[in-house]
Amino acid sequence: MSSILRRTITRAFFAGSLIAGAAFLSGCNMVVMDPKGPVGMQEKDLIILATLLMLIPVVPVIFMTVWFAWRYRASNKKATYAPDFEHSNRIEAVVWAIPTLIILALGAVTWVSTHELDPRAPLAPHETKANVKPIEVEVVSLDWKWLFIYPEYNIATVNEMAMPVGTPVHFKLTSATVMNSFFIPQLGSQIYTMTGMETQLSLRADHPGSYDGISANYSGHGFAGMKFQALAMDDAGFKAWVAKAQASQTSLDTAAYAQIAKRDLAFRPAYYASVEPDLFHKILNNCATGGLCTDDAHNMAMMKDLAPGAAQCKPGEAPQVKAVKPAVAQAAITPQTLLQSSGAHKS
Amino acid sequence: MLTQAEPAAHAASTADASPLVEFLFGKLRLDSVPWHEPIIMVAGAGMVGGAILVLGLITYFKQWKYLWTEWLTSVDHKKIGAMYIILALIMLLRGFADALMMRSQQALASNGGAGYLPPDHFDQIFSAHGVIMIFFMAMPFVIGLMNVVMPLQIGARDVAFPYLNSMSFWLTAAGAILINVSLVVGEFSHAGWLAYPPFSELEFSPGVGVDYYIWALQISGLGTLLSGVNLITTIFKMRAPGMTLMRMPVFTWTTLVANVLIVAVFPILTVTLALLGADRYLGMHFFTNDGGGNPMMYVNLIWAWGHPEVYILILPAFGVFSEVVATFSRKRLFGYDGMVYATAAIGVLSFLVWLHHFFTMGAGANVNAFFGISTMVISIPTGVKIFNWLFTMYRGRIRLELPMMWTLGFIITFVIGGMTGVLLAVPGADFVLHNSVFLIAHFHNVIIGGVVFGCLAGLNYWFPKAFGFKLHAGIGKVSFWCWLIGFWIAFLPIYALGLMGMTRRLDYVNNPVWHVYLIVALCGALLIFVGIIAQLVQIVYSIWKRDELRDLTGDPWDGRTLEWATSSPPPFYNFAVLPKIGNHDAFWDAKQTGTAYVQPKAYEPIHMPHNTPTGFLIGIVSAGLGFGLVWHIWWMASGALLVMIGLGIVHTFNENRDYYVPADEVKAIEDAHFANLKKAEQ
Repeated sequence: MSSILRRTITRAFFAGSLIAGAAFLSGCNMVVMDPKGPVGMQEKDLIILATLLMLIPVVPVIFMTVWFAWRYRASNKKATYAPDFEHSNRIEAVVWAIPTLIILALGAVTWVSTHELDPRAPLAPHETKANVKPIEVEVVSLDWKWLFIYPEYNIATVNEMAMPVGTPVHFKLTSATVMNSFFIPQLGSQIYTMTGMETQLSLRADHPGSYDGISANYSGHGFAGMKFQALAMDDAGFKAWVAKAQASQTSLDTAAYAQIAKRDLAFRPAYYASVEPDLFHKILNNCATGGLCTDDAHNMAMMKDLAPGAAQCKPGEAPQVKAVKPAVAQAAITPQTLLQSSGAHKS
Repeated sequence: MLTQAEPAAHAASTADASPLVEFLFGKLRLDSVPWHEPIIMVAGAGMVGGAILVLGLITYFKQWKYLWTEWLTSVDHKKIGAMYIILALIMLLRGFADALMMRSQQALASNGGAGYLPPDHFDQIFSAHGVIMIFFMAMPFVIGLMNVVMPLQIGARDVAFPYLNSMSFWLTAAGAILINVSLVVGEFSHAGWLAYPPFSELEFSPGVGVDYYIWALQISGLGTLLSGVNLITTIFKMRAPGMTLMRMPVFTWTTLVANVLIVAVFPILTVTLALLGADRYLGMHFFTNDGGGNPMMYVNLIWAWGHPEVYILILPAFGVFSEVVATFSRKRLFGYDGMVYATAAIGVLSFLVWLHHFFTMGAGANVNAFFGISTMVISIPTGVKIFNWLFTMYRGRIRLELPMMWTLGFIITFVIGGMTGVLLAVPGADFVLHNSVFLIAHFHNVIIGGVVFGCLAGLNYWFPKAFGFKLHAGIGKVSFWCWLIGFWIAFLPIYALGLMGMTRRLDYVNNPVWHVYLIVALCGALLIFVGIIAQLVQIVYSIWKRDELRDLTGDPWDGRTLEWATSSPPPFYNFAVLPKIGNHDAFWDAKQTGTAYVQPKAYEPIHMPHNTPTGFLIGIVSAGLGFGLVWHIWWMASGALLVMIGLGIVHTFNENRDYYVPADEVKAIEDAHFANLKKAEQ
């Protein structure tokens, strides 16, 4: 009786834990494991592959821990006892070799996948949309909201963005406040947004839907509400969305930008029919609400070094050095260039 | 729903103050105390009440003199180590209260509710939790164990610089005092445990919270650095005759490597926080958004300290497990040389991985891949260690005493944490898991499963050495199972939530699907809390029943290394006669060959340091220095600094620092010990 009962309990326990485990690990809740675009897809496969590779040593280790602890318990006098067994070339070679081999394999996977998933690498369109050009979107993190500028359409939105299904989106990102991280979990890779620095990211949605977008880096007491919706629509839907923004009554000029740059929580999405020219560039250079732009200041400083007489232009006066702008001044302020100096340039 | 709650109140209240008030009190005003926050007031009242109760009890039982001569002014490494661990346990309670508040806030505020914590309070809580658990719980616990055990393991009579040791501890304690003061007077930092700028700059954090953070860490960091110098010197200069480096017990080896790391990286922390302080106090622009500052420099610097820091914590824990596994398997440690090389390799590699904390900064693929792979490489020596512990158990005679249970719990928990860590080291995987609660689950998995389990294994293992009686096994087992099961109940749902796209540091969670996971996580946290309470009950109960748990031999576990060769608690001079070492299992060999427990015919006088109050006084005054700096009370800050320097100078004129313990006194103590040994044999 008791043995049947015990067996039943054991079986119920195992079945229960199997079901619980399955429910725990599956389900459509796991957005990271249910990606809707190629970047997220590759990252999901990478997570699974890396986990499986590591389970090769991890499972035996857990098994050996339990087995050895039981087998060699002090009360088990039948087990061999070798108090001075402290060294074995063979075993030590194996215990160094196993992790080394696993890491060799995982290292190779890492090297390749890191280059493939480089956020700055361009992304091809979905195969059904050959020759489609990526959409450019400029993203600015503000306290505590997201600003999206579509330079090709001259529109801007807050806390809502849209993209056509299958078309890659090339994001350029910066921050007008503290550091945030731009992240649409179901599409894949996140990337930091940082003041005075520009990061890039390419994503593509292959399934229509409304995906949650978040800031994944704490940025103050409004942080938890700093969310946006990323809408993946068919081409017609996207056109309609653009038209809706273009039909908006407001435009994003300096005054309107100063308004949204204020520290508050804007939950409702907003649309702007037109955008002040070069706004993203000005935000990047800390002059969107007036003042001297950082890149201009750098150029003026360079001019001063190169030709002392040329630096007489006053702040606010447009310096005549647009043509010189280039490398050095930019390099000084972007993290990419800082890090690329160690040989990571990829163009 | 949420409105701006800027700390503009400080600016407003200081603006119209008279110059005298401003001189006397800096930025401090009556309304700096958050009278209107019931939670803080209750916690503060509890803290103050607890302190008054303790002081009252000391007075009632007339223990001030005992406390002063035996503890506060002590330079005995065993007592200083014990005080480090007491500090760690107190701060564990404080840090865990923060954890429970976070878990309950997220559980309550995930189903449409707003919870009970306003966002600016929640932000302070997660910042305080991280700072307290790393700097004032894990660090003092680890340094405490190293202090108690390492000199005994190498057969030394104290550390190289006993007075410096006392000062190191009291500086650490001063940092902890500052953190606790910030709960009631003003506010704590809301910028996370690493205070990333530009958020931690004045523009975004104008209150005193970040200043509390800076000065608490600067003061305690100085203590840690000095302690590192001290312990390294001790290991290099004070080993017993015959103990070559490759005959040192593995815990001593891990202590050595951890302290080399401390000395190498704590200056980075000091400089980084000093630069941030220069921005905040002197209007400089190292990490600001404007004026040419670059916040990412801070992020690089802080992790150049921060990553070695986690190895400073875990390596000594690995050392504890190495000792425990060999002792309780009654077997030599398998692959001693491999253990030593693996420890050293981890120490070196820990400098080459810092960028993996911010793969998402936008670095190039080559950079990310380099740091990803270098991170994975660390798992090779770590894996070797785990296999070596397993092969130590293999063909052993394993006793499942408490330290061994913690060790087994550690191996099983830690390999999972290591696995998720290597997963996060793959940049492509990190791009979706970074900053998610998956990351939170990972580092709690290695810090609880590794560092905390290691500390608790060490506590149970060496407590009888330090105090002469064992900790109660039954209550200890309750604690162990609550910790182990509670950990998994708390953090499995958090792993899952990370895969569901939940990011860290959310004061409310607008997602009903996540609600149930957060409830389960809260239950796990409560179970861990039961484990912590059981741990404290175990200590109190064992003190109460100490006569039943008494160990007269000095060697309750049938130990292998030198610390078990002396009595428990050891006499203040540790060893009457310095032992000669021929092996890393020195005491075990002595027991095998019958050379243990042989009383020498005669004793010689022993050279020992005098107690001194200087370290204690400098430490306490340094809390005043920090407080003055936080609130811009310049007379207090400069006065405190002058007093500290003055105390140091006065101490240099103290010629009466050391003395010889007469041979007769040594003989009396040792005779008592050998009488006890005889009693134990019967």
